[in-house]
Amino acid sequence: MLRPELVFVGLKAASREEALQLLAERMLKEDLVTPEFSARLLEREEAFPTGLQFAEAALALPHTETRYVLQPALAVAVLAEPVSFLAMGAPEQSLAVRIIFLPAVVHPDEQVRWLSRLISLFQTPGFLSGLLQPPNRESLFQYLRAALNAAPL
Amino acid sequence: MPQKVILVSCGTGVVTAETTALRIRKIAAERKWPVEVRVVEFPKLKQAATGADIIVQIAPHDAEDYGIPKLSGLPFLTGFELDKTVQQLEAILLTLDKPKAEPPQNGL
Repeated sequence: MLRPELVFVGLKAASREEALQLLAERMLKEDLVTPEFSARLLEREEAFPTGLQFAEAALALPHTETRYVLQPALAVAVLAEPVSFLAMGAPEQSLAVRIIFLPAVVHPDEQVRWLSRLISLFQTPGFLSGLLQPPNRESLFQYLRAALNAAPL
Repeated sequence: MPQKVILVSCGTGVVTAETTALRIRKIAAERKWPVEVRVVEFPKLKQAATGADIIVQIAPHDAEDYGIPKLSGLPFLTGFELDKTVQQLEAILLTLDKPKAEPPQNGL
């Protein structure tokens, strides 16, 4: 699911829209999603915001419908500067987000296990603060791969 | 107690609802709750609610009354106040188990 070309460190984006567009464009370039994916992702984020506040950091978990996804994938970005995401279930609340996890899901029932591992990681002490440390793509990729392999369901 | 249906709803029924449903199934197995957990995307929630007993709603957490108890599923994602939510869910399941009048059936 995880691949180095979908991992970003110090990504520069002025807004959540720009951040999501950058990630979606990259996924399109890799033939992982359909051309509509980017627009649907942005629409979906406005309708059903995905910002989540954890003790160590806030993150966003944007995603959209399976019909715009060609292959399962996970894009991960640590932004250079935080952008505003609205909180899931509490859209009146704005969160300053530097961490984005963008899962592209084709079959939810088949991919729920690694999604669940990912959610477990968010709750694991040290994971999110550690995520902000790696200085480059390769080291962040290795950090994520090791963490995902070790995460409980 | 007879089997109850828990609906888990989020915007698309893809990522957050599936994950939450997996967690509720795991907790239900541990606690031996006789429940079936179904995932439903938000636009179909109203229709699905007629055949269900409890709604666990992630987002949007709307103010709509679906005629059955409803609670927030966010703790299953964040871990924050999860114990409290599990207790609430268990309390609702026990309440539902109290006998109530069966609705009249067509043709009877």
